[in-house]
Amino acid sequence: MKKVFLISVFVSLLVSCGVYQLQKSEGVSVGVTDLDSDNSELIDMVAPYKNSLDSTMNEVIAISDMEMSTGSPQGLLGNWACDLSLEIGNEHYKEVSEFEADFSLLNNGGLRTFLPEGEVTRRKIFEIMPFENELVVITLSPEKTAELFRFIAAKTVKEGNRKQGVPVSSNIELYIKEQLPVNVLIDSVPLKGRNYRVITSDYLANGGDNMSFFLNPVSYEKLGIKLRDAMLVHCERETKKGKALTSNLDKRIMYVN
Amino acid sequence: MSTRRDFLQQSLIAAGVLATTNSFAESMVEKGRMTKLTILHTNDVHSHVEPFPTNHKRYAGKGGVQNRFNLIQKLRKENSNILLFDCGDIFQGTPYFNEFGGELELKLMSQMGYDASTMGNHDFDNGMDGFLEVKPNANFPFICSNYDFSNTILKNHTIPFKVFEKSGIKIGVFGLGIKLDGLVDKKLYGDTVYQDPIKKAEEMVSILKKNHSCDLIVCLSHLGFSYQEKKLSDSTLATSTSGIDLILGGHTHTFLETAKEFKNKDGKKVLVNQVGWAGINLGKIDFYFQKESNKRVNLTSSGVSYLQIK
Repeated sequence: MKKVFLISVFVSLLVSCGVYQLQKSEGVSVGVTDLDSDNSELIDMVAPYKNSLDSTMNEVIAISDMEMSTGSPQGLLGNWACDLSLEIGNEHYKEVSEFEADFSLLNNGGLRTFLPEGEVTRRKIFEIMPFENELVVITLSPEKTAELFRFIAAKTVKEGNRKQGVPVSSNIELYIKEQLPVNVLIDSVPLKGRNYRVITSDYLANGGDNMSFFLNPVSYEKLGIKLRDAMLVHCERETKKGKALTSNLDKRIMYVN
Repeated sequence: MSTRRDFLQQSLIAAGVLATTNSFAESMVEKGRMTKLTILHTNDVHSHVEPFPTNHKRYAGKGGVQNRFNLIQKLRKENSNILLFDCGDIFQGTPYFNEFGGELELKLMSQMGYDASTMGNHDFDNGMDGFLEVKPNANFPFICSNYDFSNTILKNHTIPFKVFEKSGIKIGVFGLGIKLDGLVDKKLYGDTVYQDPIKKAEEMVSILKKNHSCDLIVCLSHLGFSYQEKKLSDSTLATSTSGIDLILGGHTHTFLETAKEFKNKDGKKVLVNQVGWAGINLGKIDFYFQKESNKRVNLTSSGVSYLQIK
């Protein structure tokens, strides 16, 4: 009997694999709540920052008549922010220009939380508008202006989440049918084939939130005031006048059948 | 009976057939037959240092760095192999960021023992110089695989991937950021070049598996969970790539109660998780590994076998 030994060498075929084989995996979300721990290590780290902030942020700077949220076709918060931006923006514009801006436009995504009914602290305004965006005046050609209203109509839904809908100032009347603008009035006058001056934030003016109609405008003028500061000025003014903050849903953006 | 069931289950697991039950996997860990790795994660914390106030409508008392730290420490006591990641948008959302530029957020994350983070769009909110100014407060790396910062001041301040080792298990981690154009002001991100996430993911998986022999591939993503419109998301990333085991996400502030399971290009399982925003939840992903048996190791590494023929 002859014995033959065959020697075969197994070369690693699976060099790309590690040594450990994954047998099971699963994932959950765990709620972060008070675990009744005595540990205050991080609270202690935060304390000096918190104390410095609280002294200014906890101040009640206005009273609001209502809770305001963003929405589509309109939301109370977006309407409020656009109206005060047009008013305060134009006050600043007057100092550098012989013109007045025609209307204002912001975005719902930039208004980060709702405004509560009752006491409004400086902190709340920072939470609504945490970004350092400045107000600017953009002069748009007739074509770009038409594009702006088409953009709003396309983005506006009858009942949407906070990311939908585009807030504008109260002097606009935009009628939408099947996601298209069927009629636009500004200060009760139908849209004309002229340039329009729009107050918005520099974030949107630079094409943010896909607002490409703002790019390459006829002119781009800075107003030297942040959107958040405009909100703070508005709050302080209303309080000084003894008035509460208020907003309403009107005819600025509407669906027609 | 239970021994027999254990045995059967064990054989089937070895054959890669059966999904194990939790208690069984845990018992295997206790017996030293399996190794457990837990990955903890957050996303879109947005400078929420303090818990939500007790009069908050939706999230009263939830979140807060101390509460998160306590939970992390509790889990660290229960599990020896822990990794802790964040998926971006650390910054922006409370005055802590407006006033202190993110310094405090990064200090706190360092103290909590974060192992790495990727960058979200809001981490550019004070520009790249603003990010760079506070970055020394982070003792963990920023992993960005598809942002090319080579023509910016962030050059060499982020890394494309990192390999972690826990009880012998090699975990390869890479990071994917969202397209900045149209989302972030150009003046804030400058000459950062956004590269295709899918191509980058494939490149990273290849490097991590072939060059670094990783046992597990994790992607830290700020692409968003899913979109109605045709737009790249974690869901599309999961199904159109291969080799990724876990995608931790952010950006869309999606609250997932349990990690969502997808099948990748090769039909293999990928977990995707995202934990809303503001530090309200902490994600916890458990992995159970079995070291390849000696026999298997012999078969897959160089060796000699003798075959007798008459």
